[in-house]
Amino acid sequence: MMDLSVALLYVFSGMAVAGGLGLVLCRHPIHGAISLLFSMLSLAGVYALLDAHLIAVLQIIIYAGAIMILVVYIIMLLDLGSADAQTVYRKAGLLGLPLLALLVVLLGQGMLSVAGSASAPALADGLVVCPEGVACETDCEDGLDQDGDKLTDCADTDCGGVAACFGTVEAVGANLLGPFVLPFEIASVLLLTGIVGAILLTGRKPEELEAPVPPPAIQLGSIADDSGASSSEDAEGAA
Amino acid sequence: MPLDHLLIVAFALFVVGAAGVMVRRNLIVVLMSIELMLNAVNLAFVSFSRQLVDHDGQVMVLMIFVVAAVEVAIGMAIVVNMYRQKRSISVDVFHSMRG
Repeated sequence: MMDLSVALLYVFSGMAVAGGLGLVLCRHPIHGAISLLFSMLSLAGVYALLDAHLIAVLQIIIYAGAIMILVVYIIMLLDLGSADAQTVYRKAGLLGLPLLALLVVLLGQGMLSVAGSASAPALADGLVVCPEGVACETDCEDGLDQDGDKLTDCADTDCGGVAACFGTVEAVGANLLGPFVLPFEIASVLLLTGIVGAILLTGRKPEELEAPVPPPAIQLGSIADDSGASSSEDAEGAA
Repeated sequence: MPLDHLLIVAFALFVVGAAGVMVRRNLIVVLMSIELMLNAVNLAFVSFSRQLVDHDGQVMVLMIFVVAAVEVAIGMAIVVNMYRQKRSISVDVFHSMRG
């Protein structure tokens, strides 16, 4: 009898792969974008079932919410009609298929080393057995402070080694700002670079903005006049 | 779900994304295929993180999120510029750097 969460894991995995196939096979890019969105939401479900709660939420917010919205926005902005739809696939891309086969072989060999691996170990239930006469955090999942040291759940060192804190914001955040603080700061610099780069690439140059607007062909005052009046003005100019 | 089944899913996603990069003409679809490959790597990271009950893999996933966001922002800016130049985003139109 298969556990419900394990069955859901297989279902979400299949949906993720189906979404990826839809991305490659759909002719119109907007259909591909929706397929990729479907794939990413399914992956968020996989992450949640793998106890990576923070990653699951960020997957929805960043990938489905921000990145895919930007992609869909650009697709609609460029408004590529059916011009590219006739020739979706590249013939030259077939040259890449041996490369793809090589990739399959190499990755497959790597996967043989983990073939037949066991399921992930069960996570602890978050209960801590205190030593005799010592107050400690006894339940790491209830959001309450049992031992009165102003630290609740995973923030308390009593719960340090308990896997109940696996994948929570507290645990991942402590890791992010602890041993991985340098990559964290470098990531912020990378984001700044991305912002500056995107503005530089898409923004108009200052001289384009300050260029004088070409005068309209018809002056406001002459709109009411008929063509005869404007032609007489031309005659005066010629004289 | 055993680890190798999850890795097979990540493997399938990565290969599908790589195939998309190789055979599709539309630049936006190529970029989205790269996103799919990044997602496959994320899935492998989370699977190993769960298997080893270690958070390091999840921190790596956060870093990949940042890289993916920057990549899409810059990539889309480049795509818009290419469209302004040639009124098309088919990869076959841009062969001026071919030797």
